[in-house]
Amino acid sequence: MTPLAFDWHALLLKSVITFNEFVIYYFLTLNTVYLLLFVVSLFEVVRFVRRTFFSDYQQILKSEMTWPISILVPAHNEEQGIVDTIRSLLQLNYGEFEVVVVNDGSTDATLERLIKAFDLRKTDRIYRRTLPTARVLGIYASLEVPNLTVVDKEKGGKSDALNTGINISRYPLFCSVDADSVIEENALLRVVKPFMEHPEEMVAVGGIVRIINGCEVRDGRVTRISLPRRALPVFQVVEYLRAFLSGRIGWSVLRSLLIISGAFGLYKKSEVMAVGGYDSTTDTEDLELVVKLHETLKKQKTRYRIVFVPDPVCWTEVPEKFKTLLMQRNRWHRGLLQSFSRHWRMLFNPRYGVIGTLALPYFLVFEMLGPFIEVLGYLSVIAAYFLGILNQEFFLLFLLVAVFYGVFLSIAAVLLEEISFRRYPGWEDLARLIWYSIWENLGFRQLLALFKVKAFFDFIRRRRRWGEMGHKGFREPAPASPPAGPRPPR
Amino acid sequence: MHTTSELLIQVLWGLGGVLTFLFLFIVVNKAMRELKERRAATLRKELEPRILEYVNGKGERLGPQLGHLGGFERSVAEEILLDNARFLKGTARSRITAACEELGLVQDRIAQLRHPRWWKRAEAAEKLASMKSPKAAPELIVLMHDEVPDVRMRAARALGQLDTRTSIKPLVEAMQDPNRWSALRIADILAGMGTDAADELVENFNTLPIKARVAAVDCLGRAKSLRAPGLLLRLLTDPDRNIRARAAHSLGLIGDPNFTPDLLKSLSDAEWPVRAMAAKALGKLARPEAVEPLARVLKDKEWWVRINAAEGLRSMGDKGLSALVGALSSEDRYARHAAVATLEGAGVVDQYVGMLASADEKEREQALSFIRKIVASERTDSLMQSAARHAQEKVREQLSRVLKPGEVKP
Amino acid sequence: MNPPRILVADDDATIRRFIATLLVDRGYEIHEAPDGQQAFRMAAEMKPDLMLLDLIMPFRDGFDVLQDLKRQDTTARIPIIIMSVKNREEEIVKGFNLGAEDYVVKPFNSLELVSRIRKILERSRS
Repeated sequence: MTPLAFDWHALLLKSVITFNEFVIYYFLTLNTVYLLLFVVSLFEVVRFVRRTFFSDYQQILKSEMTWPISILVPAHNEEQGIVDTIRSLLQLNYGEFEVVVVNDGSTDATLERLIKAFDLRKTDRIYRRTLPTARVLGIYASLEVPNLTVVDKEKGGKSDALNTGINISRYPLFCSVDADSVIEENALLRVVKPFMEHPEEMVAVGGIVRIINGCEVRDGRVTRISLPRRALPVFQVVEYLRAFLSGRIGWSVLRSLLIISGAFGLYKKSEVMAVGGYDSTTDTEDLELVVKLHETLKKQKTRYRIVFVPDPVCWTEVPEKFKTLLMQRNRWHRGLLQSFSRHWRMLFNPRYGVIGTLALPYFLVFEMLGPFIEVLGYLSVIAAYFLGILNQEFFLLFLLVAVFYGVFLSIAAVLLEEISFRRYPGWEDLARLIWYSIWENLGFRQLLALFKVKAFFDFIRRRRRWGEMGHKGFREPAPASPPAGPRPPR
Repeated sequence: MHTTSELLIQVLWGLGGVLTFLFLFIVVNKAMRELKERRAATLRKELEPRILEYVNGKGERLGPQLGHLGGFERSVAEEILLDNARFLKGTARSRITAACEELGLVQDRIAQLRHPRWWKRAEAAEKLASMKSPKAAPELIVLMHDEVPDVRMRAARALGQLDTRTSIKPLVEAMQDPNRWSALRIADILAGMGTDAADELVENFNTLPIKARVAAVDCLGRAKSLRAPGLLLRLLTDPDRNIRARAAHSLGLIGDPNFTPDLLKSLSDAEWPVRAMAAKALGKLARPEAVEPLARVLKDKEWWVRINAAEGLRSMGDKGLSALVGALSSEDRYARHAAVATLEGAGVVDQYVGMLASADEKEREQALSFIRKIVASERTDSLMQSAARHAQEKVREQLSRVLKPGEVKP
Repeated sequence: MNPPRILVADDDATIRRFIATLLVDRGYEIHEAPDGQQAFRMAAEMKPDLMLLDLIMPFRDGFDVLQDLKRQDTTARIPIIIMSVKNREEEIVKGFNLGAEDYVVKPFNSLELVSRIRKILERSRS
């Protein structure tokens, strides 16, 4: 009996120690991957800043070769700000473009406000129903503003609304804008530039998203940029800087850009239609679309590009409250898992190039399994402490790879921002960014890991709940079971 | 054990050091940049008034008015000159070019075209484009063979801006090399360079590879060359369908009504892009003999062709509009739909709806018969909205009556 | 005789400074508006003798400002010259239809601009 009890104890100790070693290696690898991505991003951002001249955008504005763009605005219960948003979109600095608002079965005065503000008349406009969508109740146009179209339809969700917008849009390129985002006035010029440089190959261009909390906004324009007052959004600013500036640009360079954030992306309509448009059955429709594009185009062996423009173009609101953040991250992670489970065939498949061999495995290990390893890692360190086997070197090493390495990367991202786009010009903002970079790694990241673990279990249980973001937004409670959405035509 | 502990602590210190260095680097970088900006702003305030006075006509040369300039001052002066050059043309612009040459700014940038770093070469080309000094042409032509694509493209753009006769040939040559150059972008540059460039393009058309030809055709639609129409008309029967389509489009842009007979032939092309572009072009040319053929094309089985025909008829004045009204009673439902949508967009439906309030009975009858045709075509969204919301009750009343189901047979 | 007052509405500070230098030397009094809202406000308040109006401006479109100024009796008489990079037929025609005196496309010829301004001021004075 006594030898058995002793064995259990030793076994426990041994497993905790081994696991702790594994965790060290995990963090070391993770942060080194981030470091590599950062270095790649650094070169790309510097190169971008060097090769971009302001006159380029003036050229694009005046050139007749510039492709016209359709701006799609899916709207559900946005009566508060919809008119202002549309007004500021109509004033964007671009040659030829149209704004297509899709009223997705709003129960408030969204449509009425639009009709009133722009003197809309119902029309019998002809369009081609290439993508299947919920029923369209009416198309409205304005004689005063010829490039505005408002589509009224039955509720079908954001993806459905976007597909409707795609059907009705006139131009070869489209972008999707959330009703509560603010687009910079030169944004269209910036995201269309890659299309003008590689017109045949370019399929989609992502624009960087910045956080609007704390900024002064007047008449749909950001008039003063500053960091938010509260802590939670500032953590997200630091996180966005690292994820976007240091992360996605790196992936973009490696030709395996996977996520174009929902707030801003410019797509070639023909390609999106060819893969069946947006999918209603996922939580993050933009991610699913980009993965589908990669998969289809790689299978067809066509030369194509999906890139990221590092110059900021779009401002969006992030959650200020803990609970809203939880719901948002929960949704993002579930969406990631959903897309993953659908396209698992691409994993480790050399047929899908860098996406299959690098990007997807990265997501698998560090985004999906990662949170578990991290959470268990912290728990096991605590366990080691209580079991009395935590020695000093190990703890220091752990701190080093799990925390300080991360702090280093966050501050490096702030540096990258400073030498390139400098959207936060003040000294106080800089100081706060650096200060929060430290704490982002010492609490915020760990919190997010917990959220992701929870999301995984939610995914397993197939719960799809959309929560409110505490302000108007395209979020509405979804049915208890996933709806049988329209199957895209093959 | 101890050595590992010490090692770790050293690594931690090292990392701390790197972090501090990073932090200091950011701070120093930022501070230096702000100082530089402040200095430039002060200099700008000093130099700008004198430079602007010169640009607006004072004095023959800028140099004496500014006095001796140090390196940094020269770069601020260059910035001011080029910043203003953006939106000027004519005498003022020439004076800016003269000033750039006089101050040696052009020479400096020409020398920079040979810089070992690619972004410096690109920058030099960019600045020379703004300076517009023809002296830079020879060096820019050399730069078009640079190994870095970005640099080549900027050199090409700069040559386009210089707009000299010597710039044209290298650009047309570039179009002949589709592996190195994007034909579309070169065509864009040539399109902005005027008649001489377009003439050169017409002459060399047959030497261009197929992808470049399409771009060239587009370019000829925009540039004004007397020799382009001849070539474009011939291209309407080119074996490649894209060329035929773009040729039709470009002929529409040039806008000579004499193209109508040839374009009418293209209306019966086997390929739908050609028909669509022909319809669009015919709409622009607006000749009466095109009205009937376009009305016939409203029944085309291809969506784009129908739309372009309808839009074309719309822009053809009264004759076009009556053709559209006539199409309201077509047996082909696509034609009916296209006609209704276009008439709505042109405001014609609104006009007739307004006529319902007229005191003249004949007018009212006319309006009613028109509206009945629309109802018969089953496209009544707009009418229903008017029936509910029109300002005049007389109108609303009559509309509601007509719209009652069974009133008008589809 | 008071110097004629000209209001320059353009969001580009460089252009404003250039035009200011150009016209002040020729005896005009220049006022500047950096965006659409201010352009409208200043025009309504000071009723300039002439207005140079850019189309692409923050907060309010140039066409909007033009339309609203022409609708108000107090400001309808102010001659307005549109100055814009927009050079398409539809836009130029729209500008004239909305009541602009003249439409100058950027890049513009500064000497020509001066002549146009002079001519319009002469006409409106008589």
